[in-house]
Amino acid sequence: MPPVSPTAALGHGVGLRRPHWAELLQQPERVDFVELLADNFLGRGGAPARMADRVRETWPCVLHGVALSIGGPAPLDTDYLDAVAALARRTGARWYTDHVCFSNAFGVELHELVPLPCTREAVRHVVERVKQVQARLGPGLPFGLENATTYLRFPQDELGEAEFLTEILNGADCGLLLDVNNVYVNSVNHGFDPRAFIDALPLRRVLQIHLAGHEWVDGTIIDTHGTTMIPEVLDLYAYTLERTGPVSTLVEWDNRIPPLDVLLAENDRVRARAAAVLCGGGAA
Amino acid sequence: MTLRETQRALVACFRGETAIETAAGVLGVDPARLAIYARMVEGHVRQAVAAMFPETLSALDPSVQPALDAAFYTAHPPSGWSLDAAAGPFPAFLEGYLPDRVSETDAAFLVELARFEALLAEVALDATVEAEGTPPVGHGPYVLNPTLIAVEVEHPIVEWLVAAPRPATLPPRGPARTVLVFRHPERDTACFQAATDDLLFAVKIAADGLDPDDAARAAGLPTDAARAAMTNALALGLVTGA
Ligand SMILES: [Fe+2]
Repeated sequence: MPPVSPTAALGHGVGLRRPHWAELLQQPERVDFVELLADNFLGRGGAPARMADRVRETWPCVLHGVALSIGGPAPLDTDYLDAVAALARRTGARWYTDHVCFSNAFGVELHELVPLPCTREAVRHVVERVKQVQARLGPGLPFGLENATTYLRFPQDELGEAEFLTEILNGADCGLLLDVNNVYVNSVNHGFDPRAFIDALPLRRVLQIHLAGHEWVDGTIIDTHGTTMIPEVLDLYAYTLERTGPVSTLVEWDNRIPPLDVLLAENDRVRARAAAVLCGGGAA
Repeated sequence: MTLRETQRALVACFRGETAIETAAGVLGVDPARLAIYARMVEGHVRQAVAAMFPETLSALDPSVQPALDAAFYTAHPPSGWSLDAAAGPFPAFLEGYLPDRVSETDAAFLVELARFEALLAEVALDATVEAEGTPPVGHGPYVLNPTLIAVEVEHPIVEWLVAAPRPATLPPRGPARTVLVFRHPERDTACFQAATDDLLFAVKIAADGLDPDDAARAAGLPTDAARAAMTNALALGLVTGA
């Protein structure tokens, strides 16, 4: 039997984006859980604060962030972490995730998930900082790291990306937000086998899965989160689920945000594929 | 290269201190891929400005904007995670940037419009009024919207924003006028109204906890006028029923 994450699977959800707030509240049963982009809620009153309260009443939720800069050189921003923890209390969030990357360095905020070289030095640095995050958040709010899209590879890389992630996750005893689309995007952009990559990860640590659409721009796949996902990504998702068992799975759509029905149809497509895999009959 | 050296080289590239080709050579990475990040990093700031200042940007000569975006990005590196904070210095930046590039009249209007849009963004998302225990203002039949602020502007900002179609030229400074800015109590959107006598009267009634009829009589006004002012203020979300 495949290992199951200790944080029980929440089903199939979507990243909650503002154009959909009101409409989704009218049909809450269409999703099993939602993910809030924490950075869009932190320190904000008004509509985001009101929505955070509605989320708590309506769905199980998880928090996702883009600004932790877990691999950055500056000390971790404890005010930011405390605000995340407060938002988690307000929304009843089950866990909080950010990316393996850096986004702030030498006093400059980049607002971008910039890749780290896959070196042992970077592993040590990130592991140490994940432990700081876990200590700050406490045991009530599990923390997970997402494998990011990376358009760069560095000549000093000592480890493959899967090995790099594995050493971080095992070293810090940390959950994995496995973005299956990111695996696919990186596999094409950097030329590796995405299934072998999945096989090489510590899948017992998978806390959640992300799925999204991507686009080709000038010979590179860009992780735009602006379209439906291609069959190859859905196939890789099925391949992953066969090895993990049920995992909370979330569809991200952040650019050219479509009507809610389009997003929900995408979520239903994922749900059907997961059911086929997990309830028998599905094959990657 | 150490992690820190790598990060320093990347940041120098993204900040435009090192050319892409040079940085790619130092880092040993593909310059085309490095350029993707450089574009995205700058793009986040541009998008934050576009989100906070849509009206100001729409009023700018389109030929000015690309260079303006780049100059703002260079002049104001964001230091914190908040994209709102990244866009925050834009009005002050315009004050220095525009006078050499557009007419004095236009520059003055655009700077004030940008400040006004920054205020709208602040009012829309201000968290202080949600702090627990904030007492409602007013103790009569109406409660003043706790997000309300009054600002003085030197240009006909409200008139320009609501004009359809917009006039072909930007208006000059005029007499100072007061604008009421507040967050709608149900829709949570930032709203603004020119401070007419009727609205100011309604604000006073709510803030002082007065009965509208008593207030009308004390001011020598018909009670119907006071009631109409309250009805209007309620509809606008400037006051709420107690
Ligand atoms: Fe993701």
